[in-house]
Amino acid sequence: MRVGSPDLTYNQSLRARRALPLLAVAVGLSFLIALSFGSANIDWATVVETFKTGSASFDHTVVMELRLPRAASAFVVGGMLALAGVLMQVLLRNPLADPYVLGISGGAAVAALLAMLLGWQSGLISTAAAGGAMLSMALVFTLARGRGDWSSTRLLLTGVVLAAGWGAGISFILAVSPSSHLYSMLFWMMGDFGNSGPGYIRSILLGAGLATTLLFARSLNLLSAGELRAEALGVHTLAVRLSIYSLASILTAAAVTLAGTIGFVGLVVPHMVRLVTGSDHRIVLPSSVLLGGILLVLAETLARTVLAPRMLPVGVITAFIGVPLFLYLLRRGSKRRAK
Amino acid sequence: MTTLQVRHLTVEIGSAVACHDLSLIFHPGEVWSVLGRNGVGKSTLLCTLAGLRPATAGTILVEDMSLDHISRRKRAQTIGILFQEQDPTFPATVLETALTGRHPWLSLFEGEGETDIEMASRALEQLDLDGMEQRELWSLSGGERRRVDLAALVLQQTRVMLLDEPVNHLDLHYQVDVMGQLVHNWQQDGGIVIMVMHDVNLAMRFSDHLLLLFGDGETHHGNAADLATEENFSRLYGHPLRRYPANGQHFFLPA
Repeated sequence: MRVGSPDLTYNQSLRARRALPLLAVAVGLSFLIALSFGSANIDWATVVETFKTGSASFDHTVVMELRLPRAASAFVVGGMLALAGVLMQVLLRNPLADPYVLGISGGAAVAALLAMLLGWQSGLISTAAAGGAMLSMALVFTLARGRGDWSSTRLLLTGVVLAAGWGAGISFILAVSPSSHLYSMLFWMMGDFGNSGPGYIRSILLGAGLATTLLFARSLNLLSAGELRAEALGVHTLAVRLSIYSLASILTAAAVTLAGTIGFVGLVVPHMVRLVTGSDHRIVLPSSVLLGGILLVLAETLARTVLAPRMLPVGVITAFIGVPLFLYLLRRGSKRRAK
Repeated sequence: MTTLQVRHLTVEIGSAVACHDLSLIFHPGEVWSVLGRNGVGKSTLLCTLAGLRPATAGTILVEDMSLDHISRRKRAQTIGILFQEQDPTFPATVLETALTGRHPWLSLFEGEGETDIEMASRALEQLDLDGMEQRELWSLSGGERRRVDLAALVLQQTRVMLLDEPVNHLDLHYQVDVMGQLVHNWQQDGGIVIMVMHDVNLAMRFSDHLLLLFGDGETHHGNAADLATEENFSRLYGHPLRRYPANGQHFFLPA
C-alpha cells in the first residue's frame, strides 16, 4: 500500500458500498414475500401482474388493499425503530442503547394510554406519546449520567428500572380504565399494522429524519468517538445532541403509536449493520433503515402466517428472528477480530 | 503567523487553581511544556486554551480575536488538541480515525477525497503506522493508538497544537525520535506547541519554554533555560531534585 494508492480504503468501502444495493434488492424481495403469503397464497407472478394491470380481481384487492398497506407500515416502523436505535447509540455512546431496552417505548406507551383514558383525539395521542418518549429519554439522561460519560452498567440499569416502572404504569392504567376503553387500549398495545398504511406523516418523518442525519453523519462519527473530541474538531455537540435526542424520541413515539412496543429492532439492526460495514454513519444510517424495514416486513408476514388465522404479536417474531442472528453475528465478528 | 495570548487568565477546577491572573503570549515557533504536580489542573488549562471549557476569568486571544468570538470551525482549523487516552466505543479503523482530523476542513456535503486520503497515508507513514490503515483501533496497543491520535492531529493542520501527555505509552524510540521530529516540524512551520509533560527531562529536551503550575494559582513562565533550576523543580514537585550535567545538557533526578 503506497502513498496515494486508492486501494487504501478498498476493503472497507467495498464492503460498505456493496451493502446498500444488496439491501435495496432485499427490500424488494421482502415486499414480494409479504404480498404473496397469507391466508390465500398468491404466486409472485400474479403479484407482479396485479401491480401492472390494476384489475379489480380478488387477488388485486388482497394484495393492494390488505397486504401492501400492512407491509408498507411494517417497513416504515422498522426503519424508524432502527434509525432511533442508531441515534440513541451515538447519543449515549453505548452500543447497547435501544428505545425498548431503555424504556423509551414504555414512556411513549404510558403517555399514549393516558391520553386514550382521557378520551383524546388520535393526533393528540401521538403528541402525548412523543412527550412520554422525551420525558423517558430525559430521565435516562439525567439519572444515568455519571461523571463525564455514561457507563454501560449504570445506563442499562437505569433503563431497565425505568422500563419496569413504565410496565407497572401500563398495568395500572389498564386496571383502572373503564371497560369501554379497554378493548381499544389492548388492541393498540398489541400493535397492529392495520389497514391504513403508514400514513404520509410517518413516511415523510422517516425520510426527512434519514436525510437530516445523513447530512450530519460525519459529526455523528466524531460524536460516537467522544464528545470532547468532537467539540475540539468543531462539532456543535450540544446542538447535534439535542437534535438527535428529539429526533430519536419522535421516531420512537411515531413507531409506538402505529405498532405498539416492538423491541429489539433498534438494538440488533444497527449492530448487525456495523459488524458488516464498519461504523461510518454515512453507510450505517441508510443501511439500518433498510434492514430495519426488511426485518419488520418479514416479521409481520410471519406473524400473520405461522399460526394463521391466529395473529402473533410482531415483537415476538422480531425477538425470535433477531436473537439467534445477533448471537451468530457477534460470534463471527469476534472470531474475525481474533485473527 | 498566529500568536496565542492569554490575558488575566484564571482557571479553577474544584479546589485547585491551575493559574491565577496569568498573562502571557505564545509566539509562533515556540514549544512550551506545562509542568506541575498531579491534579493541579494541567489538563483543564489545556482544555481551556482549546476553547472547550470556559475560563473562570480572563480572555484567550488568537491573533487579536477573542476565542469566544471565533466560529467552531475556524477554531478547529486553528487549534488542535491531543487528549489523554480514551477507549473507543464503536469499532473504527486506523485510517478512519486519522481522517477525523480533516473534519474542520470539509463542508457539510463533502466527504474525504483522494487528497485527504493521500495526506492521511503520509501522516500515518510519518508515525510509522503505514500498512496498518485497515486495522481496528481496539486491536492496537496503547502506544500505537496514541500515534493514530497524533496522526489525526497532524491532519488537522492547525497552527496551535495542544498535547496532553503526548509521550504517554510511547516506546523510547517514538518518544525521542518520532515525537521529536513532529515537534521539530511544527516548530519549523511556525506552529505553537504547548504540551503537558510528566518527565522533566523530556520536557527540557523538547521545549524551549516552560509554564510551571504550583497548584495554588502561582505560576512561573519563561525560557526553559532560565526556569530549569533545582530550586524551582524541587518546589514544583514537593520533592528535592538535583541537576546533573551530561553530554552538554542538564538532567534532573530526584534526590
